[in-house]
Amino acid sequence: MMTFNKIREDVNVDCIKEFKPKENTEDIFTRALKSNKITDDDLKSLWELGRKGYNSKKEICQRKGLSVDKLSNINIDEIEKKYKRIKQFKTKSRRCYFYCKFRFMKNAGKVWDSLVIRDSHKTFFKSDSFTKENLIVLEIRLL
Amino acid sequence: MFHIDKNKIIVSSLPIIVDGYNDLLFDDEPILYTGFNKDGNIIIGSSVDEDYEKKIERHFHSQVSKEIYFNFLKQEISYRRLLEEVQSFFVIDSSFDGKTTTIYLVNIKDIPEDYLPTYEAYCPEEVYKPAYEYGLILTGKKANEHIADITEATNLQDNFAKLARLKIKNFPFSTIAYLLPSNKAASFDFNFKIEIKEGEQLDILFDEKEFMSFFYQYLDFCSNYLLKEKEVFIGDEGDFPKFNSLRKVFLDLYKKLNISIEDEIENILKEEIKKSASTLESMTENIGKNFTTIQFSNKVDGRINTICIFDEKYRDIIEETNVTIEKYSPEYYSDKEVNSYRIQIYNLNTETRKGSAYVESGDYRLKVKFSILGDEPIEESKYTQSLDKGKVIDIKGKAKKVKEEIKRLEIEFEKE
Repeated sequence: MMTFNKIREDVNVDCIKEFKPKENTEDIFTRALKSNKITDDDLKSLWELGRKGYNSKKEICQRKGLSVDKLSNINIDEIEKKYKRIKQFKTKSRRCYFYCKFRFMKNAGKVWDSLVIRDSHKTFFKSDSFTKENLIVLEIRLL
Repeated sequence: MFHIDKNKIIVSSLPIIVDGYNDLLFDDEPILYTGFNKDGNIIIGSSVDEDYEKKIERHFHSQVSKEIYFNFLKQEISYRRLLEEVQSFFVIDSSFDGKTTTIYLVNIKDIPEDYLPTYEAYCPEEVYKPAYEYGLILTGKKANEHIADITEATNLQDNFAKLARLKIKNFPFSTIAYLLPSNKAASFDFNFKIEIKEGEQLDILFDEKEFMSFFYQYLDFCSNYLLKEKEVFIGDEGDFPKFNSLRKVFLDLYKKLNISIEDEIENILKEEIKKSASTLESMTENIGKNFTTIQFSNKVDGRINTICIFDEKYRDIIEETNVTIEKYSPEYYSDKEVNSYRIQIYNLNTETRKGSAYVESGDYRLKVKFSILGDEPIEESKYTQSLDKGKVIDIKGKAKKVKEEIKRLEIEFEKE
């Protein structure tokens, strides 16, 4: 049984109840990375990094989770274009040097259809027991 | 994090987004976003950097004109160029807890090169999602006083209804527009809701949302990209990425409806676009008289997207585009001599001397576009009388025809 106490702590919104994310161990997802290895830093939410100055429920929950893109909703060229574009706009971006394709293992966490701009964009809520080993990494590519 | 002189600090709410917030690029955080400040001006913002020791996140905000904003949205200018051109460029530092904010009014030269966006930083392309609500906002001249000329307002509503009434060959349905209540904040606005009007048999495989996404892409093409890719209508070889993308979506819709007319598909789409382009010409022909721009937008997932800003330049270009396309038609014919015609004017822009009229052609009355040659004032003339009193008048001029049907009239000015 997954628990999400870390997602619930420190805020007055229950992102799990409010947005009803679902476990997804079937689909392939992508996430931008700092290097050609997944580090804990790549998987820290803004909230975990101390950036908490947000107000609306949606904003808070987006920042409690991690942005991932579901590959079946978008082709890989568009994903690469998106990550490269982030570097063009935010040249000091922490990530977006590499990206990985992966699947979630059981009990890793839950995925929310947060629908930011594209349907492919999802927000992943890590379960309390999540570690980077909960990702089945299929490929890591240079951007 | 780079240093900014304290003398650049200002106390102002000018760069702060208070309404219409919209993400354009997002990954964990908003990378690029837009919205309106308290005065209703457009603000574009982007994430720049964070200082984890001082617990500060830094953003660029700039106040931009509608024209620059629109050029940016349509990838005409990069973000870097936009920042070089804007008059009001701000750096905003916010504490990680969101409790304090420092605003600097800066010049682009104050920003170290490695913190600026690159010249390749173009706005992400529009994602076409199902859109059911569309709007037209008039600005400038009388519109800024929240009033509109009744004839012009009627012309706009009628033409939008026509633009939205998409009835495609072999499709078992069409679209229809309903008028929605006005938004109080706008100068003068019209809001519409689009619905599917079902025909006799609507296939169970039909996906309404997919069609409404196509409809959005279609209107975006007609409003914007037709002007750039008009050569696709005049048989030129070339790269027409937006037309090809629209064509592909259109073809997929046909396939899903089990209609196999792949050979005709391009012509069907082109004919629809030509009709819509003609409607857009009618819709914009009053620009310059009592208002200067029409902001054409829609609402997707609660966000307002600007599809196009119609202004005087647009009005002239859409007319030129339609004339070019008509001339290419193999059945195009232009009167060599001046002939007599009987017309009744129903729309006339006295500034541009252009408008729309019914012309008698045998037993029929056709709707045509016209222009009045010369530079004599046309106020108090038989042309304005025809408009004001609904009078049929005799005019002399040359007609431009496609398939024997009059499309345009070049009228020789006559005092009486």
